[in-house]
Amino acid sequence: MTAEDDRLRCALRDLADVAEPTDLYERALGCSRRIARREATIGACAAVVVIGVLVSGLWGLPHTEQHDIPVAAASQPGPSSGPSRAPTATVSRPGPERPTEAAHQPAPEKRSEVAIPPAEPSSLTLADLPGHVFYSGRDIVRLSPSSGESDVVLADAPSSVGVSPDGRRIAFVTEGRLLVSESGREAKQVADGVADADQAPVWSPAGDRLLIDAAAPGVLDLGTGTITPLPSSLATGQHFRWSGDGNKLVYATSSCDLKLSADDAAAETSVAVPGEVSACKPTSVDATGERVTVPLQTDDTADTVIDTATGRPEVLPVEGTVIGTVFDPDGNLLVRTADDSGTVLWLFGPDNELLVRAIEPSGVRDLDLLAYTR
Amino acid sequence: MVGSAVLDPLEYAHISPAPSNGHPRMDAREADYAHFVRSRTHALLRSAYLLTGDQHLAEDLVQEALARTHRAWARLDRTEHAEAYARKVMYHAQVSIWRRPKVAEVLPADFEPDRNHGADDHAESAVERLVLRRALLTLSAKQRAVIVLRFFEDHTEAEAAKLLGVSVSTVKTQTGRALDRLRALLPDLRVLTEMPEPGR
Repeated sequence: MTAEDDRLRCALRDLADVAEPTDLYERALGCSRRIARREATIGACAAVVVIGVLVSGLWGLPHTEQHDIPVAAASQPGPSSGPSRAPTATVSRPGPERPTEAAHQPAPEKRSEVAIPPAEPSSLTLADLPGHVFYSGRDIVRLSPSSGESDVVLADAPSSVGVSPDGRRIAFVTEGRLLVSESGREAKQVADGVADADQAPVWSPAGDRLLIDAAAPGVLDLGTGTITPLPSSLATGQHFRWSGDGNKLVYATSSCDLKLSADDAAAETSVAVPGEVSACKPTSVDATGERVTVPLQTDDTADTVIDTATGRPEVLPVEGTVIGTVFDPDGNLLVRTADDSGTVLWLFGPDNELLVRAIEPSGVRDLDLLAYTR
Repeated sequence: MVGSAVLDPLEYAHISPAPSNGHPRMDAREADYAHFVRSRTHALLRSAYLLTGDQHLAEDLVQEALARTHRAWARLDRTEHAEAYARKVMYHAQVSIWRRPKVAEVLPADFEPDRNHGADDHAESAVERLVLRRALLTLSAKQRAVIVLRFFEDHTEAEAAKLLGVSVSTVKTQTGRALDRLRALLPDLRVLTEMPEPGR
């Protein structure tokens, strides 16, 4: 404990003395009654919706909304886009209003307040997680599910790093120098004059380019070393992320508006996130740009999946508090939850099927989820 | 999001019909709740003031926390549990997406402490409180929360992480960034107070 800490403690206590005593009993009771009425209304509406769905016969209809299914990038077939064995098909879906034939579940309302039952996984074994999980803290740590072991892949890491889709390289910025670290090798400088405050180095789905902030957002071709600025209409964007198929970019503006750009910025749409939500920092995008992970409850680590068509947070069929969400380029969604017993990893496939639910090794529990790679 | 809410609403009838004397009659649980509210509100308000920087916003925050606590009162069998619950609700509400913009306004230009305002100790203290309040309001909601939890309520990093529902690493990171920010605005924190409290 330092003298500085003590001074801060004293000063906070002094400042807290400004708060004036107030009797809030009646106000709290009134607020409690309003909450009770609101909950009763929501419950009644939900019951009506469920009854309506059941009566209309939608319960057993097969899924026909092909456009709602995020398809993994055909051009990026990873050898590990799913567990080795065929999954059973009795799961819920994280994407609301996207019921599957196998799920036989009524479509849940797309609102974060309405809970849906947790999905049933095809596997409960961590080793069935086909990719690698990366965490950030003081160091960048890689968890290899097959062995359950974690190892430091970048010590004393800066706050903004980008992990390549194959999980073998890490790009980061130190004093304006863009470096790429490959396992077992010394980090190599690939560009200079790069900022990372509003744009971490982001790998293209193929792993051959990096989207960086070099005076303006641009794309560095790692083969030639050339940097191609993004179209001028995107120059003020920040926190760019590629969709898994490489055809779309999701980014944020300085005023925390979420944007989706397609066809080389020829088509640009705003993602209207409702309420007072500030989706200031997209962290990953699914294969086709239909869904994006953003931090809403935290400042850095994504904990929410936003539907880019509606802007609404999706209800995830998991248990516990969601403390991490991330897509890999193939469209798999890794969700990390916490409860009193520990932390759990949930891997949903591109078709929203729960592939794996596994307890996370205790060695990484104090770290933040950073990336999920092949 | 399933499981992300900390609040499980419980029905609880709090005030029974008015008896013949015309005054509402409280049952035992309601009396306990009233005692809890009236004995702990100021302590909650002190933390809430640090989180919001404003008396009215602090009252709104505590009111919501107390209301949620009232909803859960039937299963909160001890006062200390009730206070812990109320504080957890308060911190979650403050850093949640819906309340995030609700902090007192502050402008960057407001930062320079005007030490000509008063020559006596009282005026000096008032200026220092104002400067610290403004500095706190430049932090994100999460950063402000970890600062209050760690340095005002004296929670450990693990306790703060559990209360906020984040990892210890996040608490460390947010605390570090918040302190960096405060140091930048208030060099060496010397402007806050001249003498550390003895014994800490």
